[in-house]
Amino acid sequence: MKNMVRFLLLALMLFSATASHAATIKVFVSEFSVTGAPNKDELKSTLQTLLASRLTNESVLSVDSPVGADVVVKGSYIVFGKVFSIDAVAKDQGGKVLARAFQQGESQNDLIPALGKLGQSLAGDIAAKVTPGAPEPTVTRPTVAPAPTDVVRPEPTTPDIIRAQDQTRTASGGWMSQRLSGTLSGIAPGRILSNDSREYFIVDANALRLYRKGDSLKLIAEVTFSPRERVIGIDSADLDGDGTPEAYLTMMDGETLASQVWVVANDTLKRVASKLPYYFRGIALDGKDYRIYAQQTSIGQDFYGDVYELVKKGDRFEIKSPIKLPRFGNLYNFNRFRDAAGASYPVVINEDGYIIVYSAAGEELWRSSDKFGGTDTYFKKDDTANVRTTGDPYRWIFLQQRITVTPAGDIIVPQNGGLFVVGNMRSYKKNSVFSFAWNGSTLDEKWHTKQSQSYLSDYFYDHDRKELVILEVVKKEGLIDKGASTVVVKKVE
Amino acid sequence: MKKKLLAVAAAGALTAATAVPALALENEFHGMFRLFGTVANYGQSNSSTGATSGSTLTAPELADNAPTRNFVEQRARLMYIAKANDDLKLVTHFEIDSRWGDSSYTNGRNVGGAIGADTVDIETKNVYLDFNIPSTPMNFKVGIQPFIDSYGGIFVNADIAGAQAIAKYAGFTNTLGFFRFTEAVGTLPGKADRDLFVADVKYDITKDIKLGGSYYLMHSDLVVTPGVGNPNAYTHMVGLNSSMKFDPVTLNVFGLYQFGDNPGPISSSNTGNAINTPATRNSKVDAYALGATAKAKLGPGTLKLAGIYVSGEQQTPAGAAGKDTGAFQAVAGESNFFAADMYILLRNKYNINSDRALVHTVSNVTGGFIGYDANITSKLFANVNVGAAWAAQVTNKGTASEPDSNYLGTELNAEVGYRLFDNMTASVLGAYVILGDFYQKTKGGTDNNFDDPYRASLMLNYAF
Repeated sequence: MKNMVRFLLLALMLFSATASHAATIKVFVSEFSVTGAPNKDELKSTLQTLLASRLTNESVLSVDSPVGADVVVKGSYIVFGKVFSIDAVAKDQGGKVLARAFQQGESQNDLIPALGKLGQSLAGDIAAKVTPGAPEPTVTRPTVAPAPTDVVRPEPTTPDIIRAQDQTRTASGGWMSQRLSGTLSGIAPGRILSNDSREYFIVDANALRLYRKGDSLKLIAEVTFSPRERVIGIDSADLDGDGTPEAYLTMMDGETLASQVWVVANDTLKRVASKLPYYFRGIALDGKDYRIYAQQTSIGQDFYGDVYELVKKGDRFEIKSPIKLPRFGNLYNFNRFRDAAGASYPVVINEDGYIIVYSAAGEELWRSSDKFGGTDTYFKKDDTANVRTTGDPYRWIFLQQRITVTPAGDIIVPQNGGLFVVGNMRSYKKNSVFSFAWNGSTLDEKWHTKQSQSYLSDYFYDHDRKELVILEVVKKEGLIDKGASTVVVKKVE
Repeated sequence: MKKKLLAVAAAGALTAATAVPALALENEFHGMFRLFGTVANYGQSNSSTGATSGSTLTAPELADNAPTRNFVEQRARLMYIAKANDDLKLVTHFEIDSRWGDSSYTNGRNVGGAIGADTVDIETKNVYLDFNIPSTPMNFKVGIQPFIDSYGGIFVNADIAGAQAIAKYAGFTNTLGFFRFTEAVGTLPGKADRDLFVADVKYDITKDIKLGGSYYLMHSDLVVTPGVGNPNAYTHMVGLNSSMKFDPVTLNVFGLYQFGDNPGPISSSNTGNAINTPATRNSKVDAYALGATAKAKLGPGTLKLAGIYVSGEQQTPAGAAGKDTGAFQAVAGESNFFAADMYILLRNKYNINSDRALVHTVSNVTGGFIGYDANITSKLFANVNVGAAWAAQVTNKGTASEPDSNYLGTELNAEVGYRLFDNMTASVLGAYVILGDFYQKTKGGTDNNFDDPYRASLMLNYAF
């Protein structure tokens, strides 16, 4: 009798186990894609294992092979600065998306808890949609809810294969130019023509070029400068009010500031002013009117005195309305924004790359944890006094990236990153552009662009068109090679 | 005065240390690598260690039928700056030098280039704290640091232990400094030493005109042999300097007057004769240096002009036998006038361990120099320089050894270079000096018939 009872119990256990197994959904977690984190190869399989074990519950069973799996989960792990995002998509064998989910965190300590939450979330969604063993899920779910505005979401991933007709389009529906010869260092908007096409002023160290955007960038005009001259910046604005923006070139002639102003006339470039002893930069202070501002240099200081507004009077250019700068501020690394109450906040990127927000009185209110900006645009000044120590008869002065303030008060800054930035040797390899908003205490990130594997040499934001126009160096100048650049237009919806 | 300065510096350091918040450390690196491959017919023989060291180029380095030699030397420098925050950083700077083939498997500076390498040869150039007093215009630099005078380095341009307090405000840059050059060996620390006190002011009159003035006081108390030398020599220096820009010309002029006790040869040595310098009691110095440099844009490049007069002395040795001296007392081996862009007449800014020049320590020289730096393309550059120099005073006056002339010689040098990368250049340079009769002939009829010194070098220079 005892044996009979044991047999029945065993049979019952086996049956229940088999029945339970028959009700589970087999899920295979494929290897993760990892972006922006060290130890990529190691993380790919580690994250795969971690998520697979956290997906398993009474309804879902992780399996080691995609063969026979009901659902395949693909995951990605992306790190921007200290923030990470883990995204996963679950598809059935037919390739239909069943569920998407993500988790984010701000340090490595958050990673495993985030994986746990992600696993639970996915498992729940999968269990709700999938009939085990069925070829098609019987329940369809609405597409994943849009991310809350305070959550960092990577942009949609670029397709694995870019077809020929897509080569001039970015993943967000933007636009990308053809490869332009040379290591280009600056870009500024030119005219908008009647067919709504846009012109760009683009410079490298020794030339100013006018391009027209169509299907590709068409070179309309070009002027070159002597080896003694060096272009270190380009901005544009319509100061004379004729409806056509002028190009303001910040130039060094030897060690003297000798900037120039050019206009477009009959598809040619015409110089209207030269030897102007100013640095130029176009800035929309407080996100209001976009103007050209100027600063001077002196024998002892690279950036001398206040920043002034540049005005055109007849054929002459003059400076007026001085603006006091906060600590670390110069023409190239500062801007100003206002909060909803109208209070004004100067903001700079200091020499170490940190964004600093000041009160109107000059008190430092906030400083970023991550570094932003980053530039390879520089000029040199004689430094014989220190050559015995430095070994370099010149001092290198780098010009920081633009800080853009939008009419809504948002702040846009680029972030160049790289393998190393040592002294005067800059090796930027990738970039992203960030938007922040002031919440009264800190700058909150609103969005950032997908990381690009190139150095961002310059950019501007066209608020009317909601476009980021980015100049990227896709190949640095080599011993013989001139390098290559491209213009990318990204829609900011 | 010394105690007050030290007290101020210590108080400043304490204030900075307690006032600054603890933030993440920023690591900043700089450095350089320079390699010279040289063919020359002048220079000293190897020292016992194989190392080369800089010196004044005199007989017997100059010789009839001077042998040609070729050598390759290299220098690497690494600077690490630990930046605690915007107002506090520690600066460290190290150097590794050698000449190919000098020696190996040893300990010592400037060697390690022989087969096997494996030499302990890292030199510490600088270790100092650089900090600001928050919310004030005050900056302090405390420790072994680089210091150059406000006169292009004609008095001193060296790494020295000391402290500087610098205040920048309203167009002024004011500096107070204290530097300890040397202590005599075998004495109590701080008992027999040579110190320099610095008070320097610069003012931006306009953005294109800067005026400066300074007072330097050198106190030499190295004497350890009773009755020998001057136990308390106070040497004063007052000077004016100015930089002006009148586009397209940039002009610098300066003058420095030296008076008071004769400090004797100011060297880094703290043994031998140095510990009894100034060697002569009651010897006075009355000397001065004048200089001017100008740069002007011209064609595709820059035209450069420079001139210098640094007083000398007829007596040999200067200041001997209780007599006063008119020879300008620069720091031996630690002074320069790089604006001349000479390679053999005066020290050159690129020279490394084989650094030799007819006038190595800036004294007793009158010179005029002209040069042109051309940017042929954005990467290709060339420069050419010509300079002539005379001794301000001939030595051994009235004796058979008196030089037949005070004409030292004329140097012609040229360099053609290419910027391989932003931070790296490769260049070929050559320099030739037509030796004057200051070296070749004496009043007594001696004709040395020295070969004119020359050098040709290939230089790779990488700095970041």
